Amino acid sequence: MNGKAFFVDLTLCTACRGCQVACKQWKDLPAEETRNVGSHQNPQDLSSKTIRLVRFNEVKENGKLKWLFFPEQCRHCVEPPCKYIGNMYAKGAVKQDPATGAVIMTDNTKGMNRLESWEMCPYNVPRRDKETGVWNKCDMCINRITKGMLPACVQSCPTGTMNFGDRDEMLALAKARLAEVQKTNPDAYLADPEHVRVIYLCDSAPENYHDKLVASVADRSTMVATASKTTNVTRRSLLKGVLGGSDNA
Amino acid sequence: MKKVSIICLLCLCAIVTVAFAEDVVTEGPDDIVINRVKGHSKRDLSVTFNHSSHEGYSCNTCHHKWKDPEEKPKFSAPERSTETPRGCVSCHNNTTLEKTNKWRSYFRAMHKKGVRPSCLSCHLEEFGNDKDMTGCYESSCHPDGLY
Repeated sequence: MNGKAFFVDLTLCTACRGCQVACKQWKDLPAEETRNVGSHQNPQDLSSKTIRLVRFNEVKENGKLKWLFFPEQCRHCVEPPCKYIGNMYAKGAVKQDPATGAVIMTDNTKGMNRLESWEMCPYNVPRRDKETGVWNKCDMCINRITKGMLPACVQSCPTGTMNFGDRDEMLALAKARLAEVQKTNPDAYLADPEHVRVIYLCDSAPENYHDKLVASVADRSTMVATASKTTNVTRRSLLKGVLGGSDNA
Repeated sequence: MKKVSIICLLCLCAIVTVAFAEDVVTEGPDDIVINRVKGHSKRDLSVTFNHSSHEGYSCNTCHHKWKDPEEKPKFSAPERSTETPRGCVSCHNNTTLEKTNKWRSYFRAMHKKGVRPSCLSCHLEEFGNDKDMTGCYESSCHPDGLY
C-alpha cells in the first residue's frame, strides 16, 4: 500500500494563506472570532473549525532575521496512532482509506471522551468540537481525490509549495528538491519522510517553525493530568464497607 | 465482636502475605522482542520487554488469569495451578489493528488507559511525568519511532 502523499516545500512558501482559505471554503467551515496579537498568524491555533493553519515564526539565525512559514495540517501517518488509540475508545471512530492512506475521523469520534489530542497524535493536530464532541482534522479532501481532483489546499497554492500525488513520486520529488536546496543550505532536511504522507522540506531547525514539526518525544505534553485512575473494586474497599465505611482504615 | 474477629483475620492474612512475599522471585526471560501487532509498514513495531526490570511487581499484575501457587487461594478460584504463566497473546489474540475496541485486541491490552494491567496505564501511573517512559515515538518502548 503506497497510496498518496503531499510534498510541502517550505522554502517556497510565501504565507499567502490561500491554502488555509481554500480548506475552509471546501470544508464549509465557519469563521472563528479572533483578535490581533501582533502576528499575521490567525487564528493562533488549530481548532475543529480551522483544520489547516499557516503558522508564522520569526527567528534569528546566524545574526540574520528569518521569517518562517509553516502550513500545518494532519500528516496522515503511515501507521496512524490516532486511529489505533482512538478506536480503542470509540468503535469505528477513525478510518484509514486503503487506496490512498488518508486518515479520516468520522462522527463516531464523539465517543472519544477521555483523550487529549497529544495522547493520540505525535504532532498534536486533531481538535475536538466543544459543542458536538466530534473530533476534526484534515481528511486529505478524500471526496476530491477519489474523483481525481487535487486537494483544495494544493489546488490553491500559487508558489509550488504544495504538491500532491502518489507517495513514491512525492518521495522522489522531495529527495530531488532536497538535493537542490542542500547546494545552498546544507542543513536542509525532510521532516519524518518515512513516517508520514505529508512530507515537509525545511531549511531551518524544527523548533524554529513549530514545536511539533517533527514527531519527538521531547516535545510531548505530559499525560499525567488526564490519566484516569483505575476504578477496580478492591478487597480493601469491600472490607472497608463491611467494617463500617471508615475512611481512616 | 464480629468486627474484632474480622480484624484479627486480616492481621493474620497480612502476616502470611508478607511472609510469602519474600519468596516471590521474578523469573521469566529477558530481552523478549514482542512483535505481534501487524501494521502497514514493512518495518517491525516491536517492543523489547525485560522481566527483570519489572521485578517489583507481582506476576499476577500482568499475568492476571494465572493462579499464583505462592499466593493464598482465592475464594472464587481455590485450585492451585502449577503451570507457568501464559503469554498475553494466548488470550489477547487479535494482533491486527482492527477492532481495537474489543478486549481480544493485543494493541488494546498494551495501550488502553485505565484498564487493568495494560502497559501504558501502569506506566502512566508510575512515570506520569517521564516522557521517555510514557511517550510513543522515540520513547523507551518504541525508540526507533513507528513507521
